[in-house]
Amino acid sequence: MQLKKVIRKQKSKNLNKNKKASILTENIIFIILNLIFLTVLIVFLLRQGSGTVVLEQSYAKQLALLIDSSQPGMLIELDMTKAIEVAANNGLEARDIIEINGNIIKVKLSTKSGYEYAFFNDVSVSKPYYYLISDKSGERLRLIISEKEKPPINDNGVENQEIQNTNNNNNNNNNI
Amino acid sequence: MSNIIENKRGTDQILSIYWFTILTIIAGGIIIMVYLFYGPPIDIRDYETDLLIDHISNCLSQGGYLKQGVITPDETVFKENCNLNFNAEIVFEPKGEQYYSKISFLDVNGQAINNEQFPNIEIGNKNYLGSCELQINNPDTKFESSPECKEKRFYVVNKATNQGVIVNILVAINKIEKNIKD
Repeated sequence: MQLKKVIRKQKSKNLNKNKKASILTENIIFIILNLIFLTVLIVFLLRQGSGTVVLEQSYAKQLALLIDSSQPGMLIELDMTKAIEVAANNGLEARDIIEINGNIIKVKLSTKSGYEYAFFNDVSVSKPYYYLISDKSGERLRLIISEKEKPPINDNGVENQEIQNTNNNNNNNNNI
Repeated sequence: MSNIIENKRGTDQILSIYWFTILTIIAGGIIIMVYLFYGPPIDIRDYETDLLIDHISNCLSQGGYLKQGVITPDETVFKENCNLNFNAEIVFEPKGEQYYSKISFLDVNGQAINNEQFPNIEIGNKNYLGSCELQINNPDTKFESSPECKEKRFYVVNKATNQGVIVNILVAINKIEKNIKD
C-alpha cells in the first residue's frame, strides 16, 4: 500500500512538472496563431482598400468630376502615385493608364481590366494626358483643358467648312 | 485533486477551439463588411447633378445678367452653345442619353413664362422627367434605382428690358449601372 502511495505521489509530481512546460508551449503557439490571424486580416483589409478595381473606379470618377467642373484654360493636376505603383506592379506603363475618347475617360491599371466613365463638359482635353510630373510630393498627372475646336462661322451665319466643301464641289465640277 | 489537474488540459483544448471559432466568426464578419463597403460602386451622381446645374447656369448668365444669344428651344443648338455632350458609355440599359435637363423661366411673381424670348428648353432623355417630378413631389420618400434629380433656381436681370427673370433648372442623371448596381 505504501509503495502504491509513493508511486502515485511520484506520478503526480511528474505530471505537474510536465504541465508547466506544456502551458508555456501552448501559450506560445496560441499567441503565434493569433498574430498570424491578425496579420492576415490587416493584409486583407489593406489590399482591399488599394485594389486595382477600386482604384480604377475612383480615379476615373475623380477625373470625370474634375473635367466636368473645369472651364477652358484651366490646368488640372491629380496625384497619381498610387495608380502608377499599381500599374507598374501589373506590368503597365504610366502613359497607358489614362485614355480619353470623346467624352469618355478610361482608367486602366492592369492589362485585363479598365473602368470607363463619361463626362458632360464638351471640352478638349490636351494630349498628351499622360504627361506626368514627378517631385517630392509624388507623381502627378497634368491635364490642360481647352475649348473644343468648332468650325468657324462667317458673317452670314454659314459655317466656313460648308463653304469650303461647296467650293471644292464646284471646282470638281469645273474640272470635269 | 490530481484528477482535476489532469482534466485541466482537456478544458484548455476546448477553450482554444471555442476561441478560434469566435475568431473565425469575427474574420467572416469583417470580410463581409469589407465587401459591403468596397463592393457597390461609388455614387457620384449627387455631385454630377450639382456640376451640371452650375454649368448650365454659368452658360445662361454672367455677372448677374442674362447672356444674349444662348437661349434657344433647339436642343442641338443649346448643347453647342453651352458646350454640353450627353453621350455615355455603351454599358447602360436602356441605351441612350443618361442625362436630362429642363430649363424654364419665371417672372418675379413666380408665374411661368413660355414665349419666344424665354422658351422652355428640354435637353437629353425626356423619359426621366416623370421620375423627377415624382421625386420632387415626395421629398421624404427614398427612390432607389431611379435617376438622381435636382432642381435649383436663380435670379438674373435681362439687360435688354432691364427686368428680372427667375431661371429654374431641373437636372436628372441616370447612370445607375455605374453608380448603384455593380
